[in-house]
Amino acid sequence: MRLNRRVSLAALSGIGLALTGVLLFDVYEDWVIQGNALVSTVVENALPFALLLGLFYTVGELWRGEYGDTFVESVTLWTVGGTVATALLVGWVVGIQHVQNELKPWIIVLQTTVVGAAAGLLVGRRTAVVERERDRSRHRRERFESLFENAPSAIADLRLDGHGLAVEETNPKFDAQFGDVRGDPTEAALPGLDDETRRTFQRATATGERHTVETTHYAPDGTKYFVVQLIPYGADVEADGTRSYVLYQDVTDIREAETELKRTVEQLERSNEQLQQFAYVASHDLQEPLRMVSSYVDLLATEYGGELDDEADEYIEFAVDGARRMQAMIDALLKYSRVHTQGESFEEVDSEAVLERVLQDLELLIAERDATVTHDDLPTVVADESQLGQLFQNLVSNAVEHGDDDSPTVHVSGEEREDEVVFAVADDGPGIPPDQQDRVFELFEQSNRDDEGTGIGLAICQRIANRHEGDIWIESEPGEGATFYVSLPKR
Amino acid sequence: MPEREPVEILLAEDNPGDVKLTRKALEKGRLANNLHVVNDGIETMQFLRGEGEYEGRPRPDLVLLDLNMPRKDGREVLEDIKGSPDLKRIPVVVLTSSEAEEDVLRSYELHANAYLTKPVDFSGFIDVVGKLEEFWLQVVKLPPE
Repeated sequence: MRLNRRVSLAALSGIGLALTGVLLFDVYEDWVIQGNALVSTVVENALPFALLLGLFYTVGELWRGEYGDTFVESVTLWTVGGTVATALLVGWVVGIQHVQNELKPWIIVLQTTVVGAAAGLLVGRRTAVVERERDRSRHRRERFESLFENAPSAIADLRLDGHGLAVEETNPKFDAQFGDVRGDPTEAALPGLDDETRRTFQRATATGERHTVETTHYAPDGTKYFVVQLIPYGADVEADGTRSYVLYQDVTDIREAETELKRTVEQLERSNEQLQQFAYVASHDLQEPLRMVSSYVDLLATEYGGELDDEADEYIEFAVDGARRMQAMIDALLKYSRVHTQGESFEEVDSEAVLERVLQDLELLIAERDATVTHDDLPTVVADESQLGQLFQNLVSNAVEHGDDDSPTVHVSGEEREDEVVFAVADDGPGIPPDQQDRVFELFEQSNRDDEGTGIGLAICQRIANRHEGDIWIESEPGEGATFYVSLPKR
Repeated sequence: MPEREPVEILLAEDNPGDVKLTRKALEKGRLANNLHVVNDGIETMQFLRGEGEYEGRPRPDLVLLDLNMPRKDGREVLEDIKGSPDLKRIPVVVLTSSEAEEDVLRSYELHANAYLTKPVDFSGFIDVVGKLEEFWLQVVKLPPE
């Protein structure tokens, strides 16, 4: 580039000097040899001299480096082109007239005029094109400037040259966020970036690589979090350097929400863990004293049964029964807490095979109630197999127990939807009134739907559905039976 | 069946209620036995090794071990017994109120010879102790001392 610049300037100077030489020779010849008045020859050559002065002025301007290399080359090319074209054309015409032995000055004037007109046209056209381009690019620039001015992110326009990375311009958002930093050293002008990142940004501006970092900015009005992006956009046309944008996107709200979410999740996990622990301890440690109560009441009955009256025996019976029921509830609680603590992994399960097994286990109950249990073809689901079995077992036994008084009919079906599988267990019992439909899933809910006498079966079903991120619900019209639905999402 | 020497049973149990229940249940059993009671894990080990106040104690034929005891719990005791070349042949029956699967598994991993859950009522308890007696002290052929 440097070389081209020198060659260009040399070519321009050469043309200037050559033409000056020719003009001076003409003056010398007119004045000294032909003996014409000096004034006449000076007047003759005044205009070309003035134009040449303009040429030298321009060369000087270019020499001082106020314009870029591309500019210098372009000026040189056009000048050389114009010079050579005019010399060739006028030389051609004069040469031919010379051969014809008849110089026709007005024709030469005409030809020169044609050259001038063509040159004027060419330069005019070129200028018009450039102006049009300039207009277009001004519009474009205005569009982008408006984007720059109104962007929701803080943006700084950077320039990298021999002096290092400097902030050239900032948008209003940037000024509002960080104050006016133009003129500040880069360390202060780009807030929240450490030396390492600044060095990376500097390298990236030179190589044209994009970079994104996250940073924390400790401002007086609170800590702010930013995603900072460096977007290089090429060479600097005016100076010898490269440019890039640096974008500060304020993600404080998102980070704070994330932190809050993390804290909430941690709290939830902790309280969940404590709850599991509580359920376990309760069911474990509560059993000890309970066993003492029931064992010694029992011992009392065994050893002193005969010596007490009937009423005392009845008291003892109540005490033993109470202890047994409490034992059953504690067992149920333990079972309930184990849905989460001792679940197996989720795998593809043939739900029909699982149901068949459950129906075999329930054979006795089904025979006892003279029940008919039918089912459709059931789809494959992704689930904890043993919990799916428990779910079917609880729902089917519940339906058999609460179906029609004599010989109940229960039907199990499964429907594959877009993103879930929905199982339905329908009975032909008295149904559940709408206001009780949610309550049957509560722990120890002693409604007429309880199972095993503890009111835990349906609560366990709900917990199993929850663990599978599914849902459980009832549809029932009084007198028309009840249908329990369980949805399990596909995975 | 010829009259046998009374069997020596060591009960490691901190709850006096359970000690009494076990004693009662063994009384109702058919087998002559001497029941020795220790109240925590450290005493258990001292008894088994015949240390301190337990010098000259008979070597037990069977250990009934509660899992939850003060100072040193049943799991640690089980580990010590089964890790000792001298004691590991003594059958240990874990007798506890815990039905937790992890307790059952852990006990068997530590080579407990059996794991029994204490039933809620006394008749059930007598039943279990009776079966225990029958199985470990009459049916099973134990290693000679």
